[in-house]
Formats: sequence, C-alpha cells, structure tokens
Amino acid sequence: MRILLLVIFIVLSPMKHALSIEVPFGETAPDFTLKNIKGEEVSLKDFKGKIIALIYWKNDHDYSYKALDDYDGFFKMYRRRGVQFIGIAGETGDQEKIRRTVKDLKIKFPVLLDSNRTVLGSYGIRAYPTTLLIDRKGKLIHAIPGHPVLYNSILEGYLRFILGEINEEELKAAISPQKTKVDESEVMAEREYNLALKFGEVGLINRAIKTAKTSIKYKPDMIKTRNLQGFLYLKTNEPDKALVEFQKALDKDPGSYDAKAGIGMACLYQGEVDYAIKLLTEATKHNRKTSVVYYELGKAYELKGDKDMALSMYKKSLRVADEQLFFYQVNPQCR
Amino acid sequence: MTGKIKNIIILFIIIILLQSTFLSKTVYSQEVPSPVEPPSCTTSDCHSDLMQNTFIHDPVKENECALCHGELAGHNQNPGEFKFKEVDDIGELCYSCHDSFENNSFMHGPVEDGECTACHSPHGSSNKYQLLDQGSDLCFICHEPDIMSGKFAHGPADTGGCLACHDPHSSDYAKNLRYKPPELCFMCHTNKKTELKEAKVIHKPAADNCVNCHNPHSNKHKYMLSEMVPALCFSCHKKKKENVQEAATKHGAIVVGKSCLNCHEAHASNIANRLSKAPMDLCLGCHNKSVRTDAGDVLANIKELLAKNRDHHGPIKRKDCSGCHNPHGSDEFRMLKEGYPSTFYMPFNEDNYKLCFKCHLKSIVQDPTTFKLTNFRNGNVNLHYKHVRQHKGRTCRACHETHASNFPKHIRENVPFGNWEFPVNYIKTETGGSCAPGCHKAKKYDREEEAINK
Repeated sequence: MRILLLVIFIVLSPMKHALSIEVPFGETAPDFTLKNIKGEEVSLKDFKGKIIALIYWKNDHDYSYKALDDYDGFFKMYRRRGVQFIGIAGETGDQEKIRRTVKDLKIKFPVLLDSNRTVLGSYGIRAYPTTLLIDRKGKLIHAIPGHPVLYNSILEGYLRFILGEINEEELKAAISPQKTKVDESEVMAEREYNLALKFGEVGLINRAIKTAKTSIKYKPDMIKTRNLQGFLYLKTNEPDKALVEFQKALDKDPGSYDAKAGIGMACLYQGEVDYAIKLLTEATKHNRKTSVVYYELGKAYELKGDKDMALSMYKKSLRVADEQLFFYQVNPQCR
Repeated sequence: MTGKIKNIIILFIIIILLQSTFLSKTVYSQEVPSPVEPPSCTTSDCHSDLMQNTFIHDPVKENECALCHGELAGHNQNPGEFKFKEVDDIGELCYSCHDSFENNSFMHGPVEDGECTACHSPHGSSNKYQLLDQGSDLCFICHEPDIMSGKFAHGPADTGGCLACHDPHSSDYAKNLRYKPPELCFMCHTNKKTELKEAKVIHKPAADNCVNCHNPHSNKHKYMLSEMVPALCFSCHKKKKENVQEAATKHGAIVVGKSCLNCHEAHASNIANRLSKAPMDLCLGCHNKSVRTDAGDVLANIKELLAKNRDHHGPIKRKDCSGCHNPHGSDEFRMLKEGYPSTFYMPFNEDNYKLCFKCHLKSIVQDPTTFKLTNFRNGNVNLHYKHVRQHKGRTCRACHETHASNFPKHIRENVPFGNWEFPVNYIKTETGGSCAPGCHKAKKYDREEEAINK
C-alpha cells in the first residue's frame, strides 16, 4: 500500500514542483488585472516581453517587510537592466494602511492590490511573502516562499540567470553558496614571503632568509620567493646560493625580469663581468626597467675598464623610473 | 763691460748655483726623524674600549671624534681640566649627517625630542645600528613589557620583531605603524586580505581594523582575542546576547566548542549572515545523528529523516531551518520562532500554532468556504477549516509532518495515538484526493465536483 501511494505521488508530482505555489515552474504565468494603489488597472500582460520580478506580500508582516527591503535593493540595481519589478499586496482589508506602508518603506516600484485574492488563487500562493520570477516569454521560472536566509543569493542568482549573465551551473553555485576553498600551503607561503620581505626591509637578513626558506617549503614553485631569496643571498655575499635560487625562478618563468637581473648581479659578484653584462643588458630590454639594473651595469663596465659605457649606464640609472625590484626592498640604501 | 768682468760675473753665478745645490742637498737629504704620533682618542688608554664594539659609529671608527665633540685643545694632555661640554642638541648634531624624519605625522617620542641616543649609542654597541639593546628589549626600556604577558602572543611581537609593525622613527600612521591597519596586518595575513576582498558578506569590524577584536601584542585568549567568544561577539551584538542568555530553550551550538563561530565566520563569508556553510548544511552538520538535549529529550536525526522523506516543508526546500527555528534560542519548544505545541494533541487555537501563521494565511482555517485559499477543499468547502474548527479539532501537526514525509504537502503517513500509529492513507488525485485514517471513515474530496461522502 505504502509503495503504491508513493508511486501515485511520484506520478502526479509535476516534473519541477513549484515551491509553495501551485503553478509548476516552466508553465506560463497566469495573467491578472489588478488595481494599483492609485486605483489604475494594471495587467501582467502590460509588461509582455520583460523579465518580471513579483513580490506577493502583506501588511503587518515581519517577513514581508524584510523581503521588501531586500527586494527594493534589487529593484534599484536591476530596474535599468530590463527587469520589471512589481509588488502585490494581499489581504487588502485596510488599503490606506498599505498606502502608508508603501510610503514609509519608500517603495518606488508599482504596488498592486489583490483585493479579491485573484493572484493568490490563480498562482496558488501558500506562503507570505512569495517572490516570483517570470522570464521574457512569460514563463514562471522560480518562486521564493518566505524570506529565507539565502533570499538575496537566490533572487540575485535567478535574476542573473534569466538575464543570461550566468549559466545553470553558475546559478547552482550562486543559490547554494559555499565557503571558498583556499590552498592553505599557498596562504602560508604568501604569509612567510611577506614576513621575509619585511625582515629584509628592516635589515634582519638572516631571519629573512630563514623565513623565505619556510615560504619555499610551503610552495617551492613560487617564483617571487625564489627571487627574493636570491637577492637576500646577494646581501649576505653568497652569490652561489643566490644563483641557485634565481636559476630555479628562471626555470619556472623564463621571462622573469627579477631572475635575469639577479643572475646578472650574482655573476658580477663572482667576477664574471662579461656574462654579467650580457644578462643585465638582456634585463634592460624588458619593458620593466629599474635604475638598479643600470647601476649594476655601470659597475660591470667600470670593472671592465669601459669608463664611457659605465658613465652612460650610471646616467641611465639616475634617469629610469624607480620601479620596485626586490633588490631594493632588501637593499633600501641603494635607492 | 770687458770680457774679464763678464767672466767674473758668470763665475760668481756658477759658484752661487753650485753652493745652493750643495746646500740644498745637505739640508733636504737629511733623514728627519718622524715625530712620535700622539695616541688618538680611540687608541689611547682612555677611549680604546670604543673600538671593541661590534658595530661602531663611523666617525668613531675613523677617529673623527671632533666631528661630534668639536676640537678641545689640551683635552688629550689634561682631560681632567679640559672637559668636553655635553652636547646641547643631540638631534641637531645627528641630523647634521643623517637625514631627519620631520615630514611624517607621527614621530617616535625620542625622535621628536631629538634624543637619538635613547635608542642608539653614539659610539658603538654589540647591536646593529648601534642600538642599545636587541629587539623588543630595547623597546621595553621605555615601553611596558606587560603588553607581552598574555598566554597567546603575536609572532613578531613575541620574537622581538616590534619593527615588523612599527617604524622606530616616524610614520604617517598612529602608533608609528608602518601601514594603516588592516593593510599592515595583511602584509602577513594575506589570506585574510583575499577573504575580505572577495567575500560577499564582510564583518565590518574585521574590514575596518583587526584590533577591534585582536590584541596585536598578546592576550590570554587564543588568537589574542580581546575576549573569549561569545563574550567578544556580545560586546557589540547586544540584542543577540539578550536573546541567547534569556532564551528558555538554548541552542547547544552556542555553548559548545567555538560558540558563535560554530556557525558564523568571524571575518567574511559568501553566505548571508556570514554563515560558514549554507544554512541547512550547517544545521545538518550536527543534526546528522540523534542529539540528546539537556532536558533529556532525544532530537531526531534530521539528516536521515530528510533523506528518507522526499516531500520537504517549504523552508527546508529552501535549505533554511531558521524559517521556523531561532538558531540563537527562544522561549518556545525546540527553539521555534513562535508558538507551536510541544505535545501532539493540543486543541486548536491560533496562538498555539502562531509559528505556522508566520508564513501561512490564518484565513486558511478561518474561512469556511473558499475557491482560492487552499486546494484542500471539497467544492468550495474549506477542509482545513472543517478539520480544525470543531470539537476536538485536529491541528496542523495532526495531518502534516513538520519536516518531511513521503506524501504531498508533507502529509503524515501515520498519526500517533497511544500505542497505535494509525495510517492516514492519503491519496492525491488531479482534482482532489482521499484519506482513510483512524479518525474517520474513508473520505474523498474534489475541487471541481464536490464529492459526496456518506
């Protein structure tokens, strides 16, 4: 018997059972003609071709007021995006009171009076408030009974869906928001990187190196930490170690300006002047130019004995924009 | 002049030149013994200790004592008599070589007073920048070390890294902070920056300034919170405090574990009310098993109940348990938002079922006839009215399951009656339905053609 009843229920249930209303989703929204609060007749068909958001509410009702407040926010955001907002007041015994509520709540969208429970009956509305969404073809797309915690998420999701701004999958995500999953190791790597940068800035180089190492442990692929570590090693006169870090950064990002500049500087520390000049010159060909690279080039040419080129580079170093290079941050006196 | 005189003159000149050459050789070729250099300030016994420091002020290193102290003849012969005057304006002296910090809005006291030597030794010390002490020990010469007495401490502050947050000289921000909070905090707490930037629902105090809730140095509470949760939350959310504390039925979630943070995110979330999960997912995180209340009642495993029953009550369809329950507690049975009887059999009275009428129209049980209010009607006879408005009238819960059932409109499968659970036997049809419960004989209803029940 129980199974039989279940089968009957499943068969008789519409494919997409509406929420607290009797019109199934996807069906044409029943037309209606009601008077607005000024006494003028307004029909649903007057808004043919428009996306319609409709809130069915009643006076002296806490949930209705809360929903109206949120709904009004959407009215302000979406009114110029092809959405017609309508309010329908049910249980219209004291119409003057409804007019006062409309005035008090500063409602600017049309408010109609369902004096004979026309809409309540034709839509089979069972809960107050109920918010309905109708597409351009006049089909009922969704209903939100009451004022659930996720009212704003659901209303926004469906409005954007009907407007074609999001697809079904995005709609699903919008109406069932979940906590964003974060990559904890990336977070920790970023945190340690920032700390290392800070230690470098205030001259605590050994602590900066230690902290950058921790950052690398969390995220070995983070290029900026490798470059920072390289510059920190340069600061402690350890060009060999610096080269290893810069090379790892360059392996990950062959276009890394910092890595190229860093390798050039490390080579200069090691006395490989020609190679340093080659790499530093290459670094200067990037869009991003920093005075420190020209300064290092100046030093390299000076060591090579080419005083003219050295002077030219030093001059350029003074001229180019002082963009941020990690080297600055760990060697602020270079500015 | 004759040739003789000419020759005498030439000879005289040659003699003079030779003489002068000879004389010059004799005088300048002599080895002049170099004078014994008097000991300098830093090489003499008096001030040699200045050179023992690891970090030495450059003028000291270069023996340029006069750069700061000025020349004082006779000091090195008789220091007792020729004493240097004290430096009148230390700051001015320092700024004669070092850049001053006068352009920023907030100055560290000693910098403002020009007392550079409050922190830096003018000669040298074992610490970088000739600081008088290391890390926070230096700061605590003046500042109260009590700020670090809490059980839980902020990493940089705990390891003496005051300078991670504070600029020791001057800053554009109060308390000489390096950046304006919360940007300062985001330097390290990058995940919080992303969270607050990207999330839809932000806790304003968190976005404004982290120290609204956290002590930046140390505190006795975890995460250096200035109070334990929920006291911390209640310091602003006063109405919630009253709600929680005065509720006759309290929600266990508030008194266990992380309290408010069992359900809410402290900083930001994508979900309304900064919930950490979608409302019902959150509830079912605990109500996925039977739960025994303090009063000894056993609450059903709601997750299982919902899984086994496909027709859910509206708020549950909307994943919103708070449609009926107040998650912070209430004076009603089961933390319900309005009146709803705790016992199954209770005479119908609108006040007893106020909860249902928060969303549903009272007219549904007030109007004897209707074509619009409900589909549970025989012709225009309102069967809700008929069930409720009679002697020993049946209530909402007599026919409807509150959470879910396998029948349309979450109608009950059985009704408890003593030891017997009598079946409702509800069957829905296109235009009406029927039931055959223990209450009465099988009856039908039809909206289009009124059914005649004998």
